[in-house]
Amino acid sequence: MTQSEKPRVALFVTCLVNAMRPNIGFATLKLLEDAGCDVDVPEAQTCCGQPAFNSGDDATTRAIAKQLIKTFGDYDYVVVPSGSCASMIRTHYRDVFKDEPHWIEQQSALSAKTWEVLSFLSDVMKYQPSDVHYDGLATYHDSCSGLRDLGVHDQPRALLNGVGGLKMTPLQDNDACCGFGGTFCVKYPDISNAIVTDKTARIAATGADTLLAGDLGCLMNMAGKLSREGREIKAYHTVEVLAGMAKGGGIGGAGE
Amino acid sequence: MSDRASILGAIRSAKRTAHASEDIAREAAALVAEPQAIQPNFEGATLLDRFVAKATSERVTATVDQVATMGEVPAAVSGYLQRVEQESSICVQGGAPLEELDWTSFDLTARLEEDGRCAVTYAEYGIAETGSVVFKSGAHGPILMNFLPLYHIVVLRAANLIGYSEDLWPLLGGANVPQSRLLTLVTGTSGTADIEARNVRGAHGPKHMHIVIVAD
Amino acid sequence: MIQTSDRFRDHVARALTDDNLKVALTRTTGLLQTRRKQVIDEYAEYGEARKRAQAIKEHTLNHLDHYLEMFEANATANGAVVHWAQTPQEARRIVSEICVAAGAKTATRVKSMLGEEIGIAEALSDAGVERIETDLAEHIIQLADDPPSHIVMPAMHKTHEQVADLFDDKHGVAPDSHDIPDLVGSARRELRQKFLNADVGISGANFLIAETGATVTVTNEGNSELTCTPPKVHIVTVGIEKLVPGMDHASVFLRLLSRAAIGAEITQYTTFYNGPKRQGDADGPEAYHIVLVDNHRTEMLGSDLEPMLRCIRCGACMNHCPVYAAVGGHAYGAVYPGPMGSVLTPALSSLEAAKDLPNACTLNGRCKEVCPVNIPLPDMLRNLRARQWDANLPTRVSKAALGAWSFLAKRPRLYHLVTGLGVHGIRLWAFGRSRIKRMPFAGGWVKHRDLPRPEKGSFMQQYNASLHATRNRK
Repeated sequence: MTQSEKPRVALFVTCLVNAMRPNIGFATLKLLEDAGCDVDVPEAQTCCGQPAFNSGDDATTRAIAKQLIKTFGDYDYVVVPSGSCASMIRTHYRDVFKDEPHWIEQQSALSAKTWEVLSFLSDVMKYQPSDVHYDGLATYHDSCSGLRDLGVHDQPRALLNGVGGLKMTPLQDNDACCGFGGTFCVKYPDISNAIVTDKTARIAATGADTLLAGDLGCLMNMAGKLSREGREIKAYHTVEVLAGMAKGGGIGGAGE
Repeated sequence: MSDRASILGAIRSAKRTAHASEDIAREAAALVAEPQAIQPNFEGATLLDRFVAKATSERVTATVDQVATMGEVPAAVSGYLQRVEQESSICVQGGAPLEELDWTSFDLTARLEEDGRCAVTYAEYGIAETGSVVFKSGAHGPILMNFLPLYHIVVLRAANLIGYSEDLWPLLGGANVPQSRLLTLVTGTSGTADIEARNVRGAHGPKHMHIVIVAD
Repeated sequence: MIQTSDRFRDHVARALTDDNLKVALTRTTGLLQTRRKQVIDEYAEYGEARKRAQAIKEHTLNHLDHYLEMFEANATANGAVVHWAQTPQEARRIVSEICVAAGAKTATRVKSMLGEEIGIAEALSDAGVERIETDLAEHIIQLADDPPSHIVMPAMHKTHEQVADLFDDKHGVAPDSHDIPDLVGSARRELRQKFLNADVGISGANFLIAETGATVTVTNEGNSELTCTPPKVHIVTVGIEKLVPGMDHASVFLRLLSRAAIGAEITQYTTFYNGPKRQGDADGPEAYHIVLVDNHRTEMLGSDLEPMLRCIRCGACMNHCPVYAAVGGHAYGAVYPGPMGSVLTPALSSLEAAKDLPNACTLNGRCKEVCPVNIPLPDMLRNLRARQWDANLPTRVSKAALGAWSFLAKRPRLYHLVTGLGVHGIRLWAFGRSRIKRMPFAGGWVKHRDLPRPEKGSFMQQYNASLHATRNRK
């Protein structure tokens, strides 16, 4: 395959990955390249606008969305290591522009080519990891936006199936919210805590030594709680394991 | 302005467009066309098989007896009462066909209100989909006979089994025929899950349901 | 009940320290989820049924005036007296007057959330009528003097131990034991004669059938028939959105309602009321009244809140809501709790009176997923936040924080500069430890969980540095 035949993919790293866990961004980059993509990281990227959208500030959301459409509009695909941010662009941008019909065409084009990384690797690139190893017993939490808005469920499991040494054990209520909810967890910290406390109890009950998911927000929430509870369970974004980059103490620093 | 006029006026100003009644009726009919697309499929099982399976399922908890003729019903009732160790004091619904049967070996009572009684009532239809029995209020006896006793014994003709609730509505005579005050689909016994979602039977009415299906 | 949604945060604080509540909710919501899933999985035609249910409700709402008039004409022909009430006050006045005219001393009642919404209890006390709640859960909360905490299981907040203490204290004859079946038996004993002696029976309706004029109730206890048959007067109070065109349409909903609500294919008693006692009938009421209630529903029609009028009150959204499971129904301070309540309460009262409700949601979407009529609850809650934003309701602090962040997000260069500095700042604050347990401006986070120390440099900083290094090597 020549360079020109490769799909031109823009990586949208997301605010949280950019600030808190760049390793996820680099793992995504590696996987996309391994899968045969020509990857670019547009420098003008910031945020998808979800915090503004979920706070009801529609004018700001639109301004940010327009900027994102301009930044990413020319690529074949936009790939995001987060179901939540990918869903914002893919499913919610439509609502953002409901009062500006002249933007709908550009918005729809961008929404249609925006993918959450695990479903992109699996469904579009038909990628299956080889030669990658992770020693551990992991359990999987299905983050809500990826699961319900984008149908991400089987893909991560299929991809992880290709990782040598990795055993999986099911998580009870794997599809129940972890209590993160973006700004929810700081606006209603005590409710969020009650929810994540139930979640970490379920995680601990699996006996797994590793927690995997596809969204850093949820992972930081669960890993932060596991760490506060003194549980020695490491948390990684799925791409970190798939890329062979799940090293160190994991998200939240547990196990360091 | 009356409340009626205000409410209808508010609806009309929210919805604006008026439609001809025939168009609305056509649209409404289209929404329930081909009911088999939404009816739980039990192809391969007869109405009787399905009815019995559902009525005796863990969720409905009825017991079922099958007899050949209406004349055998009192004996079936007596056998049931012996099995559950109940005295033979029972209420039997009036009118055809139960009143005509031979109940001489029973201590018949009209005192339905007292708790702990057994009542025998006649179901107009049975719905195979859910194992439900259908009763109508009328002159033949208090409809409360189906709601007050502890033991509810139901007589049902196999010929009156139908597949689905959609099959029942046409049997009632259609929209322009005067209907009984009350029509009820009873599926099992009075139950509650109001305390800690634990299923308990015999909340206010029947705790036990026994259905005698008459073949002829 | 008096709405106290404006004190949501206080209610939450109390709920989260209530150990009994946690036990009660844990014992119930899990069971209800399992049962629902089982029975939906068995129903292969569920997807199509759900689609049709949504379409039928949309159709009915589009022609609501037509169907209301059809219902009124048919119900009247059946012998019912149909009343219309735009407000709860008017509905209460109608109910009181009927009771007074009937010389009623006691009234039995079947649980109806519409009845709670319009304040039936108040109407009865105005008329000097003793109110007897007959649904077991309503009986419990009447004895406890609690408001309902769930729309299907109003006593979900009570453990069986608490119910036992209550019945020991309040029942004429104490329960035989504290086991759940004996508690149920005790209520049976307590209520039987009251059913038979009541002067008026009051119910709601799960559906109104336009084509026949019937009102429909579904119960498991059979208390509806026991409430509506012995008294000389039967009153139905019902919201105008409960209409469906015909019997076949009702069939669609009967399959969905109990599956979604309690995980059963059908409830034990599905009853169609067609009027008062017929000539020659062995039992039944002499008079039958239907009160059609608006209470802000016509305002929702044609607005972005219209999908909420599809709701069939199954409670599945709250049974699957993590926030509801954590705080219980009372925290919402309104008749309707959980996700559907968080949409409905602002619509029935005001945005200001229920400021927290649309926000206290993680937007996880499970409520919409389990909704049998596919109401886009998360989108509607989000839209309510937008209405709040436009009405300038969010606090100054949260507006300022979002404003600062938005300012940066719209300026990529500045954004990356500030994020880089921020990451550096957090690393410094961590003092070399891998986890942060205390941090200014992050109290909401670190109060309950650790914050990981970020890597050295943001992704963009690291990425640009590596690009730079590659270029230099070349």
